[in-house]
This record gives sequence, C-alpha cells and structure tokens, in this order.
Amino acid sequence: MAKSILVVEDYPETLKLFEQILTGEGFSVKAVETGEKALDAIAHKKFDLVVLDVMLPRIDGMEVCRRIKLAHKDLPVIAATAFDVPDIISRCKSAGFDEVIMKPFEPDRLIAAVNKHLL
Amino acid sequence: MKKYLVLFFLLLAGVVFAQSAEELYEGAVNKYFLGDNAGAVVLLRRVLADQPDNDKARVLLQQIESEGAAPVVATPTTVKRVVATTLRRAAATTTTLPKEKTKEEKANEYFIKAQEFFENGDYLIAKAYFRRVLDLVPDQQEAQSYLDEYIPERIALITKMDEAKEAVKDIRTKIEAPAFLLYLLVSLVLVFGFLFGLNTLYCSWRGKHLYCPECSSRNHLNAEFCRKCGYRLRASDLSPEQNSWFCKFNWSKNPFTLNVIPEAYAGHKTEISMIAEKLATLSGHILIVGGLGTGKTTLLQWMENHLKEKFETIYLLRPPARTDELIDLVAATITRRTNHTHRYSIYEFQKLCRQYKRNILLLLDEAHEFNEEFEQFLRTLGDLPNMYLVMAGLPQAREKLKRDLPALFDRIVETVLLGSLTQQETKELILNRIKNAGGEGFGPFTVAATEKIFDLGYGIPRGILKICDWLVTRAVRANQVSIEAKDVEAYTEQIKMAKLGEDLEMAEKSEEKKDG
Repeated sequence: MAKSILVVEDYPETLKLFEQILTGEGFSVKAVETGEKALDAIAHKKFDLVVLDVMLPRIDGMEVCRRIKLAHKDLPVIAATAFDVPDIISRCKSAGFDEVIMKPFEPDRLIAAVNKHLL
Repeated sequence: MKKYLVLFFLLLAGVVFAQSAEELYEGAVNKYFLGDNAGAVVLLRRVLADQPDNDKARVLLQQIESEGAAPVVATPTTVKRVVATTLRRAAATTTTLPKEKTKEEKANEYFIKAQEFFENGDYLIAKAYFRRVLDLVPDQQEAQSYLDEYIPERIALITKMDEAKEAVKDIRTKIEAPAFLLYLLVSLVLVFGFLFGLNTLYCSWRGKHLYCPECSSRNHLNAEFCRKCGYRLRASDLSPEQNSWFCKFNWSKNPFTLNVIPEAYAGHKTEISMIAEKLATLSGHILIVGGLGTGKTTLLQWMENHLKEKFETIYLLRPPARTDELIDLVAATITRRTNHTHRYSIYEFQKLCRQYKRNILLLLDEAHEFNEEFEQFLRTLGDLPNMYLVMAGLPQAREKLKRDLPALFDRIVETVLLGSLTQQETKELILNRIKNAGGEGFGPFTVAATEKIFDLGYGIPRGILKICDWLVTRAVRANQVSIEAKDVEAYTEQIKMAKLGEDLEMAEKSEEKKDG
C-alpha cells in the first residue's frame, strides 16, 4: 500500500509541484493550503509523513508542527521554506521539524528527504 | 670705579630715605596738633635748616614758641589728617598776615571752628579745638560746657545708637534664616496653590471633552470615534444589559474588539528584543513578516510610541499611492510644519533628510503591497544615512523584496518572523486587554477557559480576540458571570456548524450550476 503524505503549502503552483513530484514517486498525496486544514486532516486521517511550508498565511508552519508533534510525536514533519534567515534551521528544530529543505529545491532533494524518513 | 658705585648707591639711598621739607612740615603740624610741641619744634627747625625762607614753618614755629607746652591728645588717624589739613590752611593764612593775633582772637577763632566741627558731628575734632580754646582762655565757660556736657552727651548718644544698631543687626542675623525659610515656604505654598487652581480649572475644562488615548486629540464628550484617527473612544451603543454586565468587572468598554491597542501588546518578546538590538546599533533595515492577525500592525504602532525618544518615528498604515505623499509626510514631520505648501523634489528631500539631526525611523505596514515605484523610492530612502526602515507584511513580502529590490533587500539586517503566541503569552494578551478596559485579572474567564482559547485560536492574537469577543457577547446575553472551558467548546461547535452551513451552501450552489 502506498505511503500517504500530507503536503501543506499556500502557493498553488508550489503545491501542485509537490503533488506531481511525490505522486510520480508512487506516494499517496493529500494537499492542503492552510495550517488549520492540515490539523483538521491529521485529526481525521493517519499520514506517514508531512511536508509543511513554514510561512503560512494564518497559523505559521512552526505552530502547526508543534501541534502535530503534540498529538503524533513520531510522525515525521519536513519543513519546506524560502525563509533563508541564518537561524531558520535552529528555529525549525526547536519547533519539532525533522528536516528542513530550502526553496527553491531540486526534486531529488525532496525525494531524498522523504525517502530518508519513510524507508 | 667701585668707589663711584658705592657713592651712587649712597646717593640713591639718600634720595629714597630722605624726607622732604614738605613732609617734615606736615609731620610738624601733626605733632603740634597732637600736643607734641617739642617734637613739632624739632621738625620745624629741620625744615628751616633746609629751607631758611620757608614762611609757613617759621610762622608755625613762632606760634608754638609763643604758646609754650600743650597737653597730648590722642585722636584717630583720620582725625589727625583732617585737623592737620585744617591747620595747614590756617598756617597758610597766617603767612599772609603780617601781625600776630591776640590770645582771645585765636581762642575765638578756635571756638568758631570747634562749633563748626561740633555741628558737623566731628566731636573729637571739636573737642580738640575746645581744649585749645581753654588752653588759651582757661575761664571760657562755654567751651568748658561743650567739653563737659554737650560733647559727652552727643558721644554717649552715638554710642547708644551704635549699640542699638548692633543689637538690631544681631536680631536681624538671628531672624534672617528662619524668615527666609518662612518666606520660601509661603512662596511655595502660593505657587502650589496657584498651580493646583490652574490644574483644577484645566481638569474641569478637560472634563467637558473626551481625549483620544491614541492621538490625544479633543473630541466631543459623547463622541464614539476619534474625529482625527478614528479610534473607538467609547462603546456608545452598549445596551443596558451589556452596560450592567461590563460594570460587574469594571470594564468601560469591550476589551476584545479588533482595534489596535499597542498598550495591550503581548508576547513576541524574543522578536522585540531582536528588533531593539538592531535598532540600538543602527545596523540597517528590518523586515517583520507574519501571517494574518499575528500582530504586525500592533507591533509597528507600539514601536512608533516607544521609540520616539531615540528616533523620529513615522508610521505608514499602508504604502502611499504616490511617492510625493510620503515625501510630504516625512518633510512635514521633520520640519514640524503641517501646512507647508512647498513641494520637495527628491533631491531637496534628500538634502532635507541629510541635514536633519535625528535618525528617522520609517515604519511601513503592508509591505507585501509595495508597488514597483514605491519600492524604487524606498531604495533611495534607504540609502540616506539617518533613515531606517522597518517594514512589516505577509510572508510573501520578503520574497517580493528579494526578487524585485535586491539592493534594498541586501540592507535588511534582520528578518523577524512573528509567529503564534505561546499559551502564557495568550494569557498575557487577555490580561492586558482586560486591564486596558479597566478590569483586573482574568475575570470573567477561568484559567482553564484561557487555555482552551489558546488551543482554539492557535495562538494567533486576532483569533484569540475574536473568540474572547464571541464568548463575552454570549455571556452578556445569558447574563453569565463566569466564562469556563465548556463555554469555549461551544465556540468550536458554533464554528463547526458555520462550516457545515458554508459547505451546504457551496453544495447547493454547485448543484444549481449543474442543473443550469
């Protein structure tokens, strides 16, 4: 059975790109645009991994990650961000992210990161 | 050679130390008047030895010799000088007189002078003259009366007056310090009284108006919104139920409106300290990014109020349509002229800013809405040495600046991400809002309710305020004095119902489209 991945991204183009890359690798992908929808989806369905944008329009990715980790401690969460400030890695780590990939990214970088946590 | 030198020095010493005939004559006059006739005679003889044709000295010598010995009178130096001068004049007069006066004439002359001195208050001199009168005419009763009665009486009177003056001076010294303190005290009381009166008048005058806590402008007592900045001054539309419910908690208004209240700002302490650090060192520009309702605007307005001492702070609610507007605003702020008609060109504006002695902090909201023209203008502004920019916007503002304006982006030294509040910060926000409305503590919220509010609001300030507002409105309707966790859960149900309603509406619309 294909592993299920939740992708949270507010930019429709980027969200579509995530979906295409991950579906192409044989994963089952659920795509949502906001943190609230992501938390709602996680509350109703079991996912194997979450790819989460840090800069979301309402609840930011850091807070979403904190809440995911509170309910599902072992669920891997990968941060995808273009917020390239010096301390972004440490901030993501303290919020509970398992890995950070910087945008724009190569598809291989995303696939490697996902596989690292699923396989 | 040595011999001449010695002689020269001896001569010089002689010149220096030798008394002139005039000096000797004056000395003689003094001695004569003091009764030292023998001393006067010695000096006069020395004068005549040097100057045999000195008439003054010769006449005086003759007079002394004719008078014989006289009693010594001790007089003060000043008196001596005056008397000596008088005598000199007398001597000068005598030189012109070819014949000598009789004893009675001289006594009469002395008597007149003595009286003159007596009348003028020079009692010691007068006394000396009267004595001389008595020396010449011992049975002169009038002179005797002066010496025995009038002069001692006057001197006694003067002594008494002096003593009285001293006593007054003593008393004055003793009472001067306390009197000064008393004077100071009375003055202070008067000044404070005056200021108090002035303040009372001012307060009574102020009481007739309503002042905006945001911009301090004066409004009508019944105004609901500030006429200048639009700040909600009072909840004039409070129903009697709302009013009585708010009164239970000493609230003057609903604390949970979505109005920006910088004083009630809570949380983001790390972010604020990061901004403060960069502004303290004047490192460069700052960008604040955060989602909707995370408190960017409130933070900018808080900065506007709290950084006024260090900077000339200028807050822009949103990017202006034209750059001229920003030029006008900044120029008006730094020239302190709101009604100027002069339009500054960009070069004049640059010059004006450079000449301004303070650092200018431009607080720009809605940075994600900057257009190309404004961004280019910002780059020019950002290059001014005393201009610092703090921009705040949605997360995409950063990408936009990076892409469209790399030169300005390079000068951003700190990008601050305003995230959600923690549970503790959420409680702090609720407390601050209640305090701002006049209340105290969490009342009517229980601690469990505030924790539930944090969960539901995801720590987003605006979300938290909306939930609190909903809960307060519900509590007022039900006249409920306590808001508990179960009430917050009711909000969740309400949201779910609303969502369901929206979904149903959407489904109906899509079906209608299909049918159509």
